[in-house]
Amino acid sequence: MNHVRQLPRSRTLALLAAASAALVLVSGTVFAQFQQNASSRSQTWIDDDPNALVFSRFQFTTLTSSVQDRWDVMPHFDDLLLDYVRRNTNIKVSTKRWHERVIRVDDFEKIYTNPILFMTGEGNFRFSDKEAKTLGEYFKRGGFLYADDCYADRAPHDRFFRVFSEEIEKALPGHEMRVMPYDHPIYHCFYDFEQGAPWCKGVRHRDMGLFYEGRLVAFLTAGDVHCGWGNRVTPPGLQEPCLKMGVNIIVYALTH
Amino acid sequence: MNWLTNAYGDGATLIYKGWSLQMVAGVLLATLALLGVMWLLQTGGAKRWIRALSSTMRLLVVALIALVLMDPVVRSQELIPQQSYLAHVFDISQSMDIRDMNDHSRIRAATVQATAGAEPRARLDELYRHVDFAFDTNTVSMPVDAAFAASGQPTDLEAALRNVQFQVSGLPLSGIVLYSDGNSTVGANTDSTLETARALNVPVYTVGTAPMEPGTDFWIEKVIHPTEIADHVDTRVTVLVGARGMAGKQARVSLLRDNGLVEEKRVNVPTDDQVLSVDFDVRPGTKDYAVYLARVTKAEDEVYPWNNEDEFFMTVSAKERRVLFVEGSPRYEYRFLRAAFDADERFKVASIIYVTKDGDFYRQGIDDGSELRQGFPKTEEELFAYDVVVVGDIKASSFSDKQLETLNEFVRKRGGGLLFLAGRESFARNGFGDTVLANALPLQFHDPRQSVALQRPRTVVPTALGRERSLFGPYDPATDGTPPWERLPKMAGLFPLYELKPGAQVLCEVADGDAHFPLVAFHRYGKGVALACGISATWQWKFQTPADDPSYQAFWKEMVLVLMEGQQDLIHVGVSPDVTSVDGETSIRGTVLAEDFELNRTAAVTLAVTAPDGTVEEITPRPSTEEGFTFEQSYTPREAGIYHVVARSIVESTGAEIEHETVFLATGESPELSEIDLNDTVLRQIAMASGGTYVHLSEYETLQEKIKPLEGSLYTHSEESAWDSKWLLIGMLGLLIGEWALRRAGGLA
Repeated sequence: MNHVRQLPRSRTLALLAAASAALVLVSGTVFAQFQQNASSRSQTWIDDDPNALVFSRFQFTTLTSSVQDRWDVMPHFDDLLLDYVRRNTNIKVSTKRWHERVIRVDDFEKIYTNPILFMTGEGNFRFSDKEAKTLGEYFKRGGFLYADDCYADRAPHDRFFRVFSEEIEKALPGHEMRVMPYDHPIYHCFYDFEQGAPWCKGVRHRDMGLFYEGRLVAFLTAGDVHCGWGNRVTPPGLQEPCLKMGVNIIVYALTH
Repeated sequence: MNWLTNAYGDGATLIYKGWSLQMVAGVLLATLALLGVMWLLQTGGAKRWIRALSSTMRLLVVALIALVLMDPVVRSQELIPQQSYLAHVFDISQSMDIRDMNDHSRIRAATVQATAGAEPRARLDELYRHVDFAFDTNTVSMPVDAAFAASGQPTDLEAALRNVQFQVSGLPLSGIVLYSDGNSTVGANTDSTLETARALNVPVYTVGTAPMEPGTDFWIEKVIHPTEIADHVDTRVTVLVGARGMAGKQARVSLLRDNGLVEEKRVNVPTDDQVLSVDFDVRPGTKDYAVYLARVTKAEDEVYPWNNEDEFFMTVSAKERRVLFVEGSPRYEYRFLRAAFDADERFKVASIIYVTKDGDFYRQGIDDGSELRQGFPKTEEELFAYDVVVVGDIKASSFSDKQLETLNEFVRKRGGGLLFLAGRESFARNGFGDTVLANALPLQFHDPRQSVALQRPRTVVPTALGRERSLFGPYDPATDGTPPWERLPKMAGLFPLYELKPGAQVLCEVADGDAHFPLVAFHRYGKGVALACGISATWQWKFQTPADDPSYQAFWKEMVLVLMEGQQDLIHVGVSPDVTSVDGETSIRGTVLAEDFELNRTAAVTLAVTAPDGTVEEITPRPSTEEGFTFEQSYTPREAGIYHVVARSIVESTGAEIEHETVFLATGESPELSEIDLNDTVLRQIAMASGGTYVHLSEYETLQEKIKPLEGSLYTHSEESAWDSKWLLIGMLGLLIGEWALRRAGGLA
């Protein structure tokens, strides 16, 4: 026969009271924190302001569906970057979440609503003639595209870097990607990067830029900076530099 | 009713003044019904044909009575010629000498058909007495058998109509016949001409005396160029070349300066009747004024070679305008606006952009490391080095009181231009409206709506002043299609300027329901100009229109030009148009300000006009009644070249002399030979406005039937009653007696 040990009634009541108090305390703290976050978030998270930063993920068309190469790899890392921007600058950032900011490469109208685009992937894409022409017009009107090579497990590990370098030149025939000089303002407009963008993993390449009439319109990094924003499979201590490089890119794009 | 008409003679018509035909038909139908009833009620053994004939005869009697009740009247008219006048008015201006009417000049073609004694006009002269006039800028009466020849002078249609009216007043006038190609090159605009035509109270019958289908031609339609450029700076000049009948050929378009070729380009003409755009980049290397000539080389079979050139000039300035742009945070509007300024080498833009909440800032476009090192200038010496200050979306608290005061003095004392941009920070409540800078701004911040942007994207449109200033680039309704502002997308982020200060001028506006609110406005403050722009995101225009659309660039360039104009001295003079032809009139107008910058209408002013040959003419202009001007003077240049105009006056309190200089260009081209097409639009409008009609010279024979003679002047009418004709009475009696006899004979009751 099993006996269940029973606590004295008074102790039970005391334990219940203590648990209730703890619950109230924790709930209140969580709630207060939430309120504070919401309040500070509202200060520079902006609705309905056409000047609020919308850092759009650029959705390209993967060539074959069997290859694991998505345009939307770790899209919430973009939000982490924007959060960092908001905390460390006075830039007004849109409240839209990443999935609300996506621009498809073949959305020939919507592309002209977002002056700054971000593209990453493993490199299994091509721009059609119409898409390349639209991108060219996008650059001429003042648009800016940041592209980052997301490390591919299969060789070549820098496929995105190679493919992007070729494909983007279709947008502006006669203009070629060139190596970015370390004294370019994109490396010094907010934080200083004496040796270019941080490198997390993949094949080491110098950062590349596409220029139109003296203006940098496309910026390509090879070292998976984007994964560094989310601290994903990066060497220790690189998340902060990657986030800072992201801030530089955004500040540069908003001032040049 | 022709048999009735014929009974009363040629040209007579029968009209009915009594009962209407409908009433008569009704009576006849009723009679028919009644007879039908009577037929059925008839007794007696009369044969059917007798009864039918009897009923028919009764019906005829009723019909005759009904005819009488219609009160028939025979109206006849008699032609009485020569009781009224036609005034024949011939255009003898320079364009009428063009030989494109079957190898005749236009005036010759007109006079062959339409002068007194010519066969097609003979019929008109039979019916109307005539007076003949010839006009160019003057109107003269022409005797019979006078020879008409082109005078080589410009055309003034409105003056011609007024002069003719004056000269024939008192005459019974059936109309004015105006023979012209319709191009008035001197005098008031079309609206004024039509108003004059309307006020004549006499129909004007217009006859087009130029070919309906002009011959093959190249011409310079327009040259698009800035009025002021910086020396040693590439400047785009666009020449619009018209082509007709030249499909498949090539146009050689040249740009010359001082008779030296700058550049020549060849363009293919793909289709007929179009305007080609040819761009040239010029870089004037000297100061002062650069006079250019745009030319399209005459084609082999071209009929009109004299409209192939257009002369223009640009003022060359060595002064580079320094702009200081202070922005509250990095944003799209900043990058696009800065790029717009950077694209124009006349501007040198230095920027301060605050990038953190702690006030850290980023500098751009600085000359050396020391410029703006401490942020926004704190002293007049540092700030007054700039010509224009652009204040972006930034909190008022980003400035110290001293900085705001200095900025206020920058506009008031230094005469600088202040461009104040809308945004959540700059238009915030308890922001700039509570600072000393509010004195400089053209708007006030009392309205609680001022700090909130409109909810939905809206269309921004220029006001009349904005259109006059080509706010979105040059637009000519006659040659251009859609206005440039209608191509622009709707805008979000609009902050209407709900409460402007008196005297503020509005350049563009937005509709909110039934109300319209200003969006861009400026005013003079002290010696300078302050402009407020309620459009916080103009970048949408740039980004959502094709890359080569110039509207965005044109908008911001015009904003800065407005601000630059504020940097005006106490005396200012301008010339309009600043390009005219020899013997064409231009207007010199200007302003003298008192030391408090109010208009000084009592100041004595002298003008010194230096002609191209160096002779100087001293003129005392007359006071101007036009708003914004204190003096004006018409001037007619007698030789081609650049004219310098210097206006001088004296400051009353100090006795100091003040002066301002401007220039204008007189070209050797004649507008008469530039506008060579038949302007039947104007001729039709004149006819319609006055109650006349338009015919082309090829249809001149039809004019006579279109002319409506003065009432009672060509025909007299007489009327004679027809109901009291004895034959009607005899007919009625005959029918009644005959019917009675028939009834008796037939045994009808």
